[in-house]
Formats: sequence, structure tokens, C-alpha cells
Amino acid sequence: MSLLTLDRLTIRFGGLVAVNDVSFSVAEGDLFGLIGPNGAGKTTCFNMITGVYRPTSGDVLFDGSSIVGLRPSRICARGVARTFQNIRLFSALSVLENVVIGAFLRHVSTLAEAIALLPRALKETDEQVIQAMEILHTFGLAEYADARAADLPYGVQRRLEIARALATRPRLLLLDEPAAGLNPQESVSLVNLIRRLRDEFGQTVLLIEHDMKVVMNICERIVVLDHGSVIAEGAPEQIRNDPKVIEAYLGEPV
Amino acid sequence: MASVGELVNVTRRYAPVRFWLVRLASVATLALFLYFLQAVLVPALPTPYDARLISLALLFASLAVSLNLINGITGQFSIGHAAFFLIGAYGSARLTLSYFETQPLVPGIWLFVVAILGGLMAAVAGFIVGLPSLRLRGDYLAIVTLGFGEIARIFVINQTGRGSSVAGLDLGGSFGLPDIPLMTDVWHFALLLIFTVLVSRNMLQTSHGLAFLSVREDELAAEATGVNTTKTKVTAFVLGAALAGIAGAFFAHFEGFITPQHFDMNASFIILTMVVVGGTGSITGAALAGIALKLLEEALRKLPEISAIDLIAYLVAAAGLLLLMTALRRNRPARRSTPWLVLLCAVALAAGVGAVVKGLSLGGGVVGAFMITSGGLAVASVLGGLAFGFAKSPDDPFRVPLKALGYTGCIGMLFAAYLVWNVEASVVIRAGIGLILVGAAASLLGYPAGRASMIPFGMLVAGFLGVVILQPVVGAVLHSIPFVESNLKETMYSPSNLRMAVFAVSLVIVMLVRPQGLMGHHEFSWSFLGKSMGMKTKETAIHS
Repeated sequence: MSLLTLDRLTIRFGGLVAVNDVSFSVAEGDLFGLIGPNGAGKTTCFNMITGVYRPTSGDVLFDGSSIVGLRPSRICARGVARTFQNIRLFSALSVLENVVIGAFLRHVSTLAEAIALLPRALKETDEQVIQAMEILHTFGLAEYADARAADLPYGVQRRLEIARALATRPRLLLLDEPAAGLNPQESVSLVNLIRRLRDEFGQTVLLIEHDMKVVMNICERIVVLDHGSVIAEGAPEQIRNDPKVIEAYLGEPV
Repeated sequence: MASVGELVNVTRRYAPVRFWLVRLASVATLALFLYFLQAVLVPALPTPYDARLISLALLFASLAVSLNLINGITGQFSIGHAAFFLIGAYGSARLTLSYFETQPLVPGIWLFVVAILGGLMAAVAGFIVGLPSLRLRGDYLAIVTLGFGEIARIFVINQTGRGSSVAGLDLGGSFGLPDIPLMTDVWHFALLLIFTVLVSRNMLQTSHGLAFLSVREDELAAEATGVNTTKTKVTAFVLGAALAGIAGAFFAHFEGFITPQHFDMNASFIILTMVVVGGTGSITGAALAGIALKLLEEALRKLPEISAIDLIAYLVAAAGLLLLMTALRRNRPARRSTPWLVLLCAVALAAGVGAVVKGLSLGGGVVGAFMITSGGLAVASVLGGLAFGFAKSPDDPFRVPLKALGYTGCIGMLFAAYLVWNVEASVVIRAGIGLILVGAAASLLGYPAGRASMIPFGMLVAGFLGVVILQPVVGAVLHSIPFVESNLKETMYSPSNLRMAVFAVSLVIVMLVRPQGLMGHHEFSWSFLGKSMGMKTKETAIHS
């Protein structure tokens, strides 16, 4: 059964059709790739899935029910977390605090309890800190816990953004160009990390990526977008040899 | 860094008996402190004006802290905070004037009832103002809040109870509401400040506070991480407004007479200034800046008159030395700085000798003693430092006298604190300035980080001494110019007339010296104090 289904998703910005009639499904446990040339509508798809944009027509089904029209925080609470193409961390806050905010969404204590510093709010915060520390350990970020997020090297910031998204305990993780700006070694460790997330924690991942090495290495299914429409869908080998994809995006092998 | 194991142990702190005992103890301490303040400290103040100063300082500090919740912590740029203050004040005052006589509550309890009601009214206004923040950001939101501030004030001006007044509600129009029974005392304002600080501070102790901070940092990312930014922003406005409303209610029953002028744009801007000067986002920064700026504003009311020529001489001397110091700074890494250092040391030496001579001519008295001692110390430190410096390092011997001069300056600050204490001004202001001087001297003398900055501080002291010694010379030159003498001879200048200009200039200087505000993003706490003094402390896990 599919976890996420895009059903004839379309969005228009004025006269521009950014995403046109896109349908595909991501099954539980998939490592799913979304590729295509710049301006193909990949990030726009992400923005519609996560509720930043409202589609003009079509539907997004998550776990069988429509999430169109919900606010992004609600969608995140349903279990869809994401990272951003240009890193968006809470830069003045510490690494640990960034991840604690991810864990905050499961809070049950009220703000009034927090202001009165009642035990439930304090305990809950401590638990969230512990959860966040565990995630930091998994991501090898524990040594940076007290550093300001903005002070981290670029590659570590990318990892932190994924850690923050995972702290929300998503059922589906959307990664928007996670390898952008990483050096080759960092890319390799990113690939290993994403694999581990799936193999050890059964994390479903949908990712946008331009680095074909990364995409072909980890994705089991790939959808190719061009000018807002799906031009191909299938396993990496199929995509690599698809003439339409080669023409629109990959180019002739040299 | 807190390890996971450590944090697991931390959760044991919330054993119910211990938790509530600790809570009870802190509330009892607070009550004791307020009692001490009201029953011991306030009666000891020489004039009612002193108590008023303390009250106003605490009031504005609370207003700044409540605005910091909206502006600094949640990042919603609001410049109409005086409107919430106004709503709390007018709402509670109207209730008191209409119903206080005919109801059974005693004033002490009634005040809290109307304060809470005033807070609620302001909270409703905060909710309404918070709504545009859902769509507007930065400067656009600022304009909306500014407009709201003006609307609230003009609404009150129109509410005369007659003619075009809405529902015949009488708020006194532009003449204000007189004869509000006085119910507020100093301890109310102390309680208000503590309460306001606690709301922000406690929030930041838990992950709820982090949600507010995340909205400030990046709204889109916060929403994508599961923070309901709409709710968070509106909550911030409601909380900040409610606290300002309570402050307004206390103010109305303290002043006894409120007019729309109390709550104009100036008030909003002063509160905003306190937040920015304190360091946007820093709770203690806002509180400290609130107290300091209110006291500064009041202290500037009583500046002594000075003849225009003397003032110009001071300005010229200061400007000249400032140029010299700038040149010195620019040349610092190179050995070329030595000639300037020679000049500075010479100036300091001359000033020291001059101070001793002037002190001797004055005969007895505090000022004479101060001049003799500090002048003697300056001479001794420059000469001794030079001797020691030459003995120690023939390359750059002037570093040592400057350092010695720095130490002398610290002692001079203690002297100055003593002098300030004998000046004719409110005890609160004297205590405030004295404390700042003593604190600065102590932090320079007492801690490694302070002692490390002795050379620049020594230059500063030399600069001050230079101004003192150059001023009479420049003054004499100015007096000898016929044009200046004939035009300005009789002109006296009273800086108090331009006190807001002086106030503004001092703000400009503070912001130039420390653009991120006094506290930056930090909070004043024991660990911060330790850290800034170069001591190692345990890191805290959550934002503090």
C-alpha cells in the first residue's frame, strides 16, 4: 500500500503551469528519487506535498487521506518532514535546540504549564532533549550540540537539517537536494546515512537531487519531471537509458 | 554539554515533594524580598521623588521586557507597544472611577482585580493586532502596529463622553482622567517586573520557548518542523500585550492622572529603544536597559549650567584627543605608535601635576582630596611605569605606564563613585551611577579578562586626563578671540534643556560601541558573569 500518492497534481502561477498533471506513488520503505532539469517543478511538488502551496487541482493522499489544505505544521504532525534546497536552520540557536524544536511537535504540556514551570512541562522538555541528543549521536553531531547552528561547516549544516526533520519522527522524509554543495566524501557519507535510515529505521525517503551518482546509488525508483510533467518513471537502469530523459536532462554519455 | 545519562538523572528532580518544597521556598523568598523592599528600603529613601524614580524605572523595565517577548523572542517587529499600555491604564482607571466607591473590595485587592481586567483588555487588543502579523513581516508589520498605536491614542482623545464619543464612554478626551485613587506602591512594580521576566524566562526554560525562537529564526522552517507559527505569533502578541496592560493598570493607579500624552509614539519608541539597547531577544538585557535608560532620562534633568565658551573648549579638547586616539589605534600593531604613546604619557603626566596643583589650591574638601590623590597617582603611575618599563623592555617601555595608568583609572573610578555619592541628585541616580562605576572598576581590576584590557583602558584614562588639562588652555585661547569673547561671554548653557538630545546622543554612542545591544543575545546570569570574566563554567543544555 502506498504511503504517499500524488493524484493528477497541478498548480498554476498566473499563466504559468508549474506542475501539470503529476501522478506517482511512494510506497512505505521506498527510497524514491525525483529528478529533472532546473525549473521542472520538483521543489514546487515538495511545496505542495508539505502544504506551502495549495495545488490548483489534483490531490495529495498521505496514508490514504487527503492532506491538501492542511497547514504545513499539521502535515508535519501527520508524518511528513522535509529539508530545504537552501539550508534553513534556526541559525542563532544551538544545534541541540534546533533538533529539540523538531521533537517539540509531540508536546502535550500547555504553554501555561511551561510558564508556571510545572513538572510536566519540565519533564517533557528533558525528554525532548534526550530524544534530540540520541538523534545527534546517530548523526555524529553530538560534539556540536552546544555550537550555534550558523557556525557549523556547510556539510554539517546539511546533516543537521536532516536530523531536525527526523526529530519530528516522520513516516515520510522529503529531502530537497541534500547533496548540493557537498564534497565527494561528504556525498558518500550522506548516501550511507540515507541508506542506514532506511535499513535500520525503515525510513521512507523521497528526494530531489541533481547529483546523479547519489541518485543512482540510493534510489530504487525514480520519477523524472520536465516542464512540470512526468516524462519517465522506473528503476534507475531504466531511467538511465530512457531516450526522453537523456534528451531532457541527462544528456548523451560522453 | 549535557550527556544523555546526566539528563536522565535530571528528570528525578521532579519528585513531587521536593519540587513543591523548592517552589514554596522560592515564592516565600520573593514575598520576603517584596516585604523588605516596601517596609525597609522605601521608607529609608530621603524623598518621595526617589521612590517615584524606582517605580518608573521598574515600570519601564517591565514594559521593555514585555515588548521583548514580541520583538526580540518571537521576532515580530512591533512599534505600537504604548497602545497596550494605554488600554490597560485607561481600562482599569475607568473601572476604578466608575465602580470602586460602590464595591466592597479593599484598594489592595481591587488594584489586582483591575490590573487583571486591564491586562485582559490589552490581551484582546493584542490578539487583534497579532492577526496582521500572520501576513505581514518586518517593516510592514511595524507600520501596522504604529498605526494601531496612534488609533488607540486618538480614540481616547475623542472619548469625551459627549458628542462623537463611542457609546458615551468618558475617557476624559485630551484632558485625561484625573483623580484616580492612588493604590500602587513600589513593591507592585517590583512584582510586575519579576512576573514579566519570569513569563519570558520560564517559557525559554522549556521547549515551548524554543518554538517562539524558531518563529523568529525562520518562519517557513518552523512551520515545516511542526510549529504552528500562527498560534505562536498571536500568542506572543497576546502575552506581551497582557503584560503591558497590567503595567498600564499599575501606572494609572500610581500616577493618579493619565492623559493620552503619556502613551504617544514617544513612549512606544522609548520602550523599543530599551529593547534594542538591551540586546534584542535578551530578557535581562531589556530589563537592565529599561532601568538604566529611565534613570538616565531622569538624571539628565538636573545637569549644572556651564558657560558656552567652557563647553566649546571641552568639546574641542575632546575632539582633538579623539583624533589622537584614533591615530593611535590605527597604528597599534606597528612600533610607530611609540611617539603617540610618548605624547599620551606626557599629557597624563602634565595632567597629573596639574590636578595636584589645582587640588592643593582648593585646600580641603572632597574634590581637592580627590584631585590631589588621583593626580599624584597618575604622576606616580606614569613615572613608576616608565622606570619599570625601561628596566623591563627597552623596546616598548610605554606599554607599562599605560597599564599602570589603567590601574590608576580604576582607583579613580572608585573615587568618582564616592564623589557622585556626594553630588546633589536623587539617591537612586547617585546609587545607580556609583554602582556602575564601582562595578566597572571591580570588573577591570578583579578579573583576568579585565586586566588584559588595561592598556586600552589606560589610554582612555590618559585621554580623559588630557581633556581635563587641555580644556583650560583651549578655553583661554577662545577667550582671547575678540569675536567669540564679545558674542559668547555672557551665554550660559544648560544642557538639561536639551536633555532628550543628550539622551539620544548617548544612545547613538552605545549603539556604535556595541551594535548588538548591551547583552547581545546573552542573558545576565551567574554563569554568564563567570564566562565573561574568563572563568570556566558548566554549559547549560537548553537556551538560557
